[in-house]
Amino acid sequence: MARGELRIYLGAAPGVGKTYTMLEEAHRRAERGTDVAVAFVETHGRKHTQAMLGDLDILPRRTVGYRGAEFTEMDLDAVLARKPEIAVVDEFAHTNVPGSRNAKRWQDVQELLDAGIDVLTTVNVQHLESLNDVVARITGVEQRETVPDAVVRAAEQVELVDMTPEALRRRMAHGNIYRPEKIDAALGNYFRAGNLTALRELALLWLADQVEDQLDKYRADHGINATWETRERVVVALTGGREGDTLIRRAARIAARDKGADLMAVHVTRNDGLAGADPATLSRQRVLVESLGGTYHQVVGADVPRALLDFARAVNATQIVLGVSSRGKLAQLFSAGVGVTTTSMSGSIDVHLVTHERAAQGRRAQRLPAALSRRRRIAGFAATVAGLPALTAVLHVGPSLSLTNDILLFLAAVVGVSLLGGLWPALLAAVAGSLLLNYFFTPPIGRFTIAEGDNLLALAIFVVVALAVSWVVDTAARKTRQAAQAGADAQTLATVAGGVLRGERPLIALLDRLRETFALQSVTLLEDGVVVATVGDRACTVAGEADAEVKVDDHLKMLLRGRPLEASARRIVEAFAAQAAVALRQERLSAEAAAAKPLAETDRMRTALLAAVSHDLRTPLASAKAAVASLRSDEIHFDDHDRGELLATADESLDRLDRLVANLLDMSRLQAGALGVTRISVGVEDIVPRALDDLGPGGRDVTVHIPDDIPLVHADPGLLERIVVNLAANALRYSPPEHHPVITASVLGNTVELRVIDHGPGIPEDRWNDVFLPFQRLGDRDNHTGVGLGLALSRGLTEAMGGTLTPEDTPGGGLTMILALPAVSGT
Amino acid sequence: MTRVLVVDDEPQIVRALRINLAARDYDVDTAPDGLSALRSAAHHHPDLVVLDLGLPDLEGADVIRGLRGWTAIPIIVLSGRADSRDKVGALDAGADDYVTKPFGVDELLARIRAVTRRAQPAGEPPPVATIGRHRIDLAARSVATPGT
Repeated sequence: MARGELRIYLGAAPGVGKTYTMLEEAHRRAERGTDVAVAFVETHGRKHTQAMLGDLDILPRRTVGYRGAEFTEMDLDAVLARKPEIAVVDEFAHTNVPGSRNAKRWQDVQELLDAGIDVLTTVNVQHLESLNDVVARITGVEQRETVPDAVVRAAEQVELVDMTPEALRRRMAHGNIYRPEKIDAALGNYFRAGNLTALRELALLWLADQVEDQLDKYRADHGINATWETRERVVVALTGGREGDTLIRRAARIAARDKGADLMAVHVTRNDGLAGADPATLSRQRVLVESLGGTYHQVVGADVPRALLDFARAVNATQIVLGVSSRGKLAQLFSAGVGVTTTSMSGSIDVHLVTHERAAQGRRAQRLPAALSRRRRIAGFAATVAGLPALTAVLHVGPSLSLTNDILLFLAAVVGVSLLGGLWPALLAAVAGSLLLNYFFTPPIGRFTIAEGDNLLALAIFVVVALAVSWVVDTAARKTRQAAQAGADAQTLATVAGGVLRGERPLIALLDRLRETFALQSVTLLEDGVVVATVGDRACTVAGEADAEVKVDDHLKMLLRGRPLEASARRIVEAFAAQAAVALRQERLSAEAAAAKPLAETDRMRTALLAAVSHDLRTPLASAKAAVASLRSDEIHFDDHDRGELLATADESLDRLDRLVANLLDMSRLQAGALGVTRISVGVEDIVPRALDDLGPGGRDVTVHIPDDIPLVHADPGLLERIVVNLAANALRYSPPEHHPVITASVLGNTVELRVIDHGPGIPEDRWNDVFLPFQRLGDRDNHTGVGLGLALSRGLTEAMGGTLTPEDTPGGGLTMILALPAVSGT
Repeated sequence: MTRVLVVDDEPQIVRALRINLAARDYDVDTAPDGLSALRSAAHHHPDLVVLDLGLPDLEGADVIRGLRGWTAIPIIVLSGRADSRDKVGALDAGADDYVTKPFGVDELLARIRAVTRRAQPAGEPPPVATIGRHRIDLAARSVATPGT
């Protein structure tokens, strides 16, 4: 005989509609002609569920006596004897009354299945064995009825009956789940929105687990709150050429593939005179990068690959995007390009070499020899030492030329050296050339004497021309270099200005840009010796620690750590410093403006508040005084009734005055931090009735549901009573006459939550914080709400006792105030 | 007998005044807010109004203007607002006197006597205007046309 199939309806909480859904399915099957019998269904008196039973065949239950009470259970033997095709058995996790054949209902179900009967059943997520402790932690309720996960997992089908917490709470408030007197308490306890959300998530996850075991591993790997530990950072290197657009878009796509990756574009401004960047192109690309959500950076460096990698490492980049070299094949023979060099030095950073339409087209004439690097000076000296003796040798053994031609050839050599190596090699070449000419080519040959005056003049002219030419060459080279440097500086400054204008905190952005541009460790701005802003690591706090110091004005000073500044860089840093001073002033001004706004607001508030307080103080004072003055009057005789009324007037007014003064004093004590709080262990069930007594006749309209097993709380009894009085008075004020406020208590972890629930108009969620501001009511329009101290004071007092006071919507309309206080452990 | 309308949203004040005035043989009407004050005035035609400025529905000055639209009966403002701007505002709106809370009962009574003495004797013309056939009752804000 084939074993029956088990179908389980899983729900996150009571009331989501498991039984109802199960019965729907039972009807569907019955209509198809299947023999369906209801072995056990618990309707909990819910009318929709009751109606759903309809004409289904309901098997009688078995009545069991236990400890003097009668219980009804599923009659297992009767079901087995009836042997329907499908048995409907509610509450899979139910524990049978002792003395039954099986301890648990799920064991009964196993027997049915073994007998070849298909079973439809229901279970709540809190009854699953594996989730038992989690559920207990969330809800604070220990579950005794559990069912092993394996049994549920073995079911042929598990169907989730899902409902959003809000809908469930609404359904509850409408009385569809529990009887009316249990509703408010349940909403405050098990059916808290937070509870239901957590339970629903548990149910969904448990089911997802069932569907896909992979998910479990995924969650274990990532942890439930996993954030990306390391962010991907993609750095795109821009040369200033037009291919940069392609590179930026490509890098943005790479960044988009990794969720949350950062995009950073960097342009290395070369300070060796080889700058080929077009500022207009760069500024356009900057806008492009920023529009794609990236940031633009600029660094100065002679060695592009090294500067690029330094930047990339400094920002913890994981990937670099570079364009394929656009240099010609010939140029690539002589030196490896930036891409190749960067790749070889990149270490753990991935380098993407991206091809673009301008690759390998060559760049048009831009690499003119300009600056005199050390290498070129050495080459100049080498050329002098090797070239002049060679020239001498060639002229000596070769066909004999006139002295004039010899001199011109030597002059050409000197000019060549000066073009190659600048002034100093040229000077050496001129002196050496003149000596060689003298020794080898002017009679008497082989001696350093000159016989003819003409020759002496020629040699002198040779030296002068050689020196002049080499000086001109050197000066030109120096100018070119200066121009290149100035160009780089100008680019940097342009970037500075742009960055400062754009940023939200201009000063920090500016200092950061400075640090980045000069590859510094830290930059600090001091005002009269006090640090006002700093970026980078190991900030200097005193002038002595800094590698460089720039004075801005009499008060401001900028300290740089990382490397000493050369004179040219200093100029730029000074410009930065001046900008920083402006930025600082700007930040201060906007801070002042921001501070002035609330001040003006406070001032307006204070005036209105003064009016409100003086009204609230004067009004009861006026009534009391009027009443007392009338009683003292000799000219009129009041009868006993009037005297009584006048005395009551005085009494009520003075009471009101007393409450107001007490609230005002407490509020000021609270704000001054001078409130005396004596926390002891108290029971909320003692405090609440006392507080309601204080409210006078109105207090009797408040319904109290406090379970017996609520632990003691750690609180000041006097203050707690005041809070409850305020909350209850508020709830009474806004409750409709036919729907009284309710006070409930529940346990959540280590806190006890006291809920004051009203069914009044409620407060929109965006105003929840405002109601806790003191002096909400301004002016003297309304005599009933007081100065608006009640809630502000209640929250202040609660927090002084280490608790919290938060509002929540009452399902079905109204406001619920949740007063959470630490429970006394061990009770 | 002089009829006084006491307008205040504070029940204790109203009660103290009612007892005092009644003991001195005034007829007393009371109203807890501006609109019922205007209604009561139109209905009972009091000889004097004692008015609080901070009412839950209307500003006291608006109540004064509402009354002054059709009657010149004395109005004494009885308010917790002690600022001179409030006093000027209320008096300019048409109040006859201004007493600040807390107040001496004797002083208030003396001021009530003073303004009633100055006020027109009982021959005050009814607040009714006639335009052609139409009879306009300014207090009740109603227009009656015979034959319609």
